[in-house]
Amino acid sequence: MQNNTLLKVNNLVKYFPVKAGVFRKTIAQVKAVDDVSFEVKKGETVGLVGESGCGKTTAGMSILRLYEPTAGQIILDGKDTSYYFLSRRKAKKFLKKQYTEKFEKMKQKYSSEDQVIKNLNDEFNKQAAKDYFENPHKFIEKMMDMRIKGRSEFRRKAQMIFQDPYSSLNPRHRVKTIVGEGAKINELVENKDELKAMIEDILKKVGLSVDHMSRFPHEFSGGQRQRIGIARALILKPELIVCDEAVSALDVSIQAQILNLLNSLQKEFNLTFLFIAHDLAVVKHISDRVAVMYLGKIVEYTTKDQLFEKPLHPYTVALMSAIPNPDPENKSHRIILEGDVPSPINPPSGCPFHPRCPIAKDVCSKEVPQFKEIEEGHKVACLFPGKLKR
Amino acid sequence: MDKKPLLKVQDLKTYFHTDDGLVKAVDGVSFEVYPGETLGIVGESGCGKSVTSLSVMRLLDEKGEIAGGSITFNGEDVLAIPEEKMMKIRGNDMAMIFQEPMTALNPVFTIGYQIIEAILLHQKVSSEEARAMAIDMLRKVGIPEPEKRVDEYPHELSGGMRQRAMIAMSLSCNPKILFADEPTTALDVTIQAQILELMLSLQKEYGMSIVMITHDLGVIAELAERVAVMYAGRIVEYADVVTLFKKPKHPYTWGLMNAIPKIDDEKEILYNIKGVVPDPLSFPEGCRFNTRCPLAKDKCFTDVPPLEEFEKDHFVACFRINELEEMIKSEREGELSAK
Repeated sequence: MQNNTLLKVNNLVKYFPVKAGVFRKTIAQVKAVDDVSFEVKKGETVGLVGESGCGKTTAGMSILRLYEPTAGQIILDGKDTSYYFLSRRKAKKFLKKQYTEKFEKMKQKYSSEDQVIKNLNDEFNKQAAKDYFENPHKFIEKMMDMRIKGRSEFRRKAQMIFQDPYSSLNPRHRVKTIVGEGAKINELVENKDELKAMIEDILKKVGLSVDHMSRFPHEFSGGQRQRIGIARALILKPELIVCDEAVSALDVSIQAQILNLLNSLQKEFNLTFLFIAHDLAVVKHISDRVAVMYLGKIVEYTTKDQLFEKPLHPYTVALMSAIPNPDPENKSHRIILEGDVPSPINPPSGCPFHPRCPIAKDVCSKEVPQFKEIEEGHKVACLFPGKLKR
Repeated sequence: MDKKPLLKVQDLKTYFHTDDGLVKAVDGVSFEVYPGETLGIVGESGCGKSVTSLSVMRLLDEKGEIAGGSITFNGEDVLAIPEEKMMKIRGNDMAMIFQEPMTALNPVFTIGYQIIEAILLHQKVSSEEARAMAIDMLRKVGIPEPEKRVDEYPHELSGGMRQRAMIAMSLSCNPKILFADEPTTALDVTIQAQILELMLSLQKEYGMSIVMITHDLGVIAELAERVAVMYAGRIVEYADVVTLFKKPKHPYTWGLMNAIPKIDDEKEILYNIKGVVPDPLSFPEGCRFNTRCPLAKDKCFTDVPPLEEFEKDHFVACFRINELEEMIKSEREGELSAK
């Protein structure tokens, strides 16, 4: 595995306003994603797990800018893409806030430009600061120029595979249109023959046959539709694919087929997956690293092996114990969590997990636990990590 | 087991007359359920597991027809019971919980009303008593503040709470048998764990039998004592849970077990049951698994394999039981060479 980062998400926030009354006044915010940061390396699979309503899908959609995030920085392949989809005015505002104001403030604080660069903690922003101080005006200009071109490039590089293969394919289009559309828009091919050859090639790669090209989605089974969805993403030679519950709507035997397919495609094309799912067993099977989300926040993020051997956050421990083990002689000892997931409109004070946590103490309801590295490559947001045992 | 079965289903055939043709959704299914035990019925979507339970409760719509076989419940022939009496049995002796509690509960009535309705229909009690019973039942299934919740509408409850209300309703008349059709599939894992735990403890308390219908082998392993594996309208393997998980004898069962990723078992490639479930309008001749089975040959395409006792209490419907070992072996070798 290469050691370079493909996707870096810094402090991603997505709030949905709740509106009411004649004037549609915003009365509350649904804090779907609340300060999420993580990175995905090239060629690896990061699993994002959590229960329904924890914000994992919103996080995925915000990264792909199917939702415009409320705040945060999304860096894909060394480029800040956060402002690509904003209007010109808003993009300028964003850049001003994200770079000009931040760097100038830091400059005042640390009094020298070198000190600012030293105090920034990630490589991307260090480089940005260096470029900025060289010529602030030109830096912003350059960023603005990249906006439109970056947009289509981003759309090609980052693709999504959806959960429901029934509603995510246009029922009026033939398979070749569905799969070929992206390639046409992105001008990856020069003429019709090339396009046809490309579609044929990709269909074979995902395990469909050439004579499926002219059929409509309703003629396919769930598993085959999911393959069409994969082909549609794959034809653009993307770098990042966000799989949002890509196998949870499928039957067990079909699920295995699709998981195997994703695995082999990843090897062949050196793909990077952000695999969003609620099924821990599936996530364990496919991921290299796993982030566990609860109520809009990542509570634990580490390698798969560490997470499953030594989970540190009590929520992760409970989640794992809750999975029914398909082995009748080895029934899991379950930690039953009380109650339901609280509403993200009014998340609990302190640690969001404390009302359901079996080991919560008074301090947990007051102090928000920092998401920090406890062991090497093992980040946890808990005041008492590792205290809950199975 | 020398006890008398509570429910005995023999050679049940349920056909649906659809516009496209005859769908043999259940085609010759036999099983027994003993008092107080949990039978798991496992299979993929469209294998007929839900239709089986609907047939036993005689809840099929007008397109469905029980074309053959017999169902004996509590010593009575279910298929001969007049509809009026069946209505008394349903909800009272037999109860059912469904996958999606939001669609199974009536959205325009409070949950209390719906539970009380069931109690009043089957028991001779006043409405005050029924209300008290309903509140009591809600408390038993772990709904906090049942006095308040009893007057709430389904949409005011979370998914897990709704499923609890469903369970309260189905258990309010103390049934002898409970059909649970994917009761936890729509729920989150932590809530699923709560509901499974609840079902186990209620079963201990009330001593009812449970027929657990699910596609999730994990749930089956946790709850069931005996398991029937269904494929395309037929039972392909039928055994107690340990035997089934440790020594599956049907290639479909084995494939299914090895197709699921497991938490405590590292595997690069999952076993691939090639192909898809056949179209119910035109199931293949002979063994219905023959289109996907690596062992299928000759007889498998012409004759229907009978569900025969392979060892004591371990029934398998396959002509090639003896060749499964070799298939597993070559599969394992294939896995190793892939690594």
